[in-house]
Amino acid sequence: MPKASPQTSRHALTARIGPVAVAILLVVLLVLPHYLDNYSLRLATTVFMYCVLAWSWNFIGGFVGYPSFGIAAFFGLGSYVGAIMLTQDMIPFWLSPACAAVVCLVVAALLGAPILRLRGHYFAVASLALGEVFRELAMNWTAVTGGGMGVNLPPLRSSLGTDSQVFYYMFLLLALVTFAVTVAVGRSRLGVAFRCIRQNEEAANMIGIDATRVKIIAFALSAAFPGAAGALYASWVGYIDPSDVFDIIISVKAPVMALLGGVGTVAGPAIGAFLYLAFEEIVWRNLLQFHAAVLGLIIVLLVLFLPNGFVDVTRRRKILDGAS
Amino acid sequence: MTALLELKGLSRRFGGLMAVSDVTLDIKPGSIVGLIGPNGAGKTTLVNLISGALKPNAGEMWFKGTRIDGLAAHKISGLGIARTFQVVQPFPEMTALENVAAAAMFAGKAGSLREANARAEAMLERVGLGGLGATSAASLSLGQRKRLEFAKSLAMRPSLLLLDEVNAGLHGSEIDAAIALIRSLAQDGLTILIIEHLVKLVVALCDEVAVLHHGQLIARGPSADITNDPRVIEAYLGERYSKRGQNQQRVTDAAR
Repeated sequence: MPKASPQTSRHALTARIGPVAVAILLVVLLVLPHYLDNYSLRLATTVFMYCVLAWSWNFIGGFVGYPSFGIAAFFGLGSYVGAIMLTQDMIPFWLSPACAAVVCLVVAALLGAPILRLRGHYFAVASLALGEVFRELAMNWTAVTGGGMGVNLPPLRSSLGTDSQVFYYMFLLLALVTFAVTVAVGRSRLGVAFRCIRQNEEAANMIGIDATRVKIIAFALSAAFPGAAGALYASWVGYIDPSDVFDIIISVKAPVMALLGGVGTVAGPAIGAFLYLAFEEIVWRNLLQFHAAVLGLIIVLLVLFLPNGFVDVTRRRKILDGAS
Repeated sequence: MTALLELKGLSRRFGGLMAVSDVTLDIKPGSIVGLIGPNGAGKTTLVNLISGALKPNAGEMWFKGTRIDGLAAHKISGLGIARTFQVVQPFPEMTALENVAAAAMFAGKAGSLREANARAEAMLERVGLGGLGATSAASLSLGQRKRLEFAKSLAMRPSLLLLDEVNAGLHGSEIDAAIALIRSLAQDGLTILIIEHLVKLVVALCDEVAVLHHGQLIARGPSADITNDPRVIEAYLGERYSKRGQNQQRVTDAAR
């Protein structure tokens, strides 16, 4: 027992500091737009969007351990749901993310039942195919989606502030909601069920966990938030087309960010999103020709040296301290 | 007395192999039944069928008056059938306590996390893992992991416990401890089906023994009688030994 005591006191410390740090960060983020130029504001908004995608992937990929490449499918679906509803003047702007989230939740729950029978690589490929199928649908269902011509969205013209500021706060709010749900799920019975399934699905069934239902919930959660993010994104950029919003790179980015920060943790995906965007801005700008190669290199290095992400670095040092 | 578990003509095929063939068996509440048979007799397949990990091709299973064949594994465990695995299946990234608490939380229907943890503590204590609750399941020894399986099953508050070779890979003193534990559980009124390789151990523990051979139930009866059954000896040791046994019997009979 004495071995456990420094760890528990450290836990207590982080538990006390955690909420305070989050509160300070929140205040900083709330006043930040008034001090940022448009370029920085766009970057900050993108970080929030990436956080949403990484946390979303974390539900199915991190907690449950099913390597989904389906984020783009629901990001795209959400952006089309939002775009179509807004151009038809069916709903006010602020309601479009919620509508997109609900549609994505339902679609993912329906598709999850057949897809989640597959495991490992098979599931990964099936989830990847979802995005491609949706893209083809958007391409060819011209009457509704405008096909390859894409959709132009009405400008915001909000009285609350400049468009950049409004989208900053909307994405911040969405990121906070995703974060809150991640924390809540992580502490609930559902979170325990997620972790049991990741470690041993058969044993999870044997202790009374309805693995199929639990996996569908995780998949639906990992679809709803990207859907909302897609709807916001559509309004933000003002124009969407199938190859933009169903881009496979979105499905790759989400797990890479989560891996970068720490899979299956609460803070990891956000840290990963921040690191990834910093990397994207600094390196890719200077290496335009090679950015895909560099992305591949990051994935390889991550798998080799940091399979549990940056969050794990502190944990690993602790283990080394204990050994010496 | 009505049976707690009733199997009627249960069969399961793997390709051309009848792993379990037309097995009819009932287990009375409060009894300890042993299921023995040589390697590949279909013992573990039968456990997989009862626990819902596999679906039968034919036959019926009734538990407490409910028909359970075709039900999903999580439903069956929720009804009160718990099992241990021949190859232990802990959640390796969780502590011993978390492993047991998870079982208490879902199939055990614990109302709160606190209740689940309290029950898990008690179960770890009961199987002799008290004080190891904070240890990661991955770093437990094989003997300890077997006991962890036990604790997980017990935390589910089952009325029927299926023990699939809980003693395989254990050494003498660990086996003694396991036997003592099984006896104490039986005294509490738990119904137990033990799948075992060690015939001696089954005979010592069980009220009744069923023998499986090539997927078929070839004998069933009080444990003392079963070891003298020529069909059982034949299944285990081959025809020559069973004949020799019969001949000897005849010789001794003649000598009288």
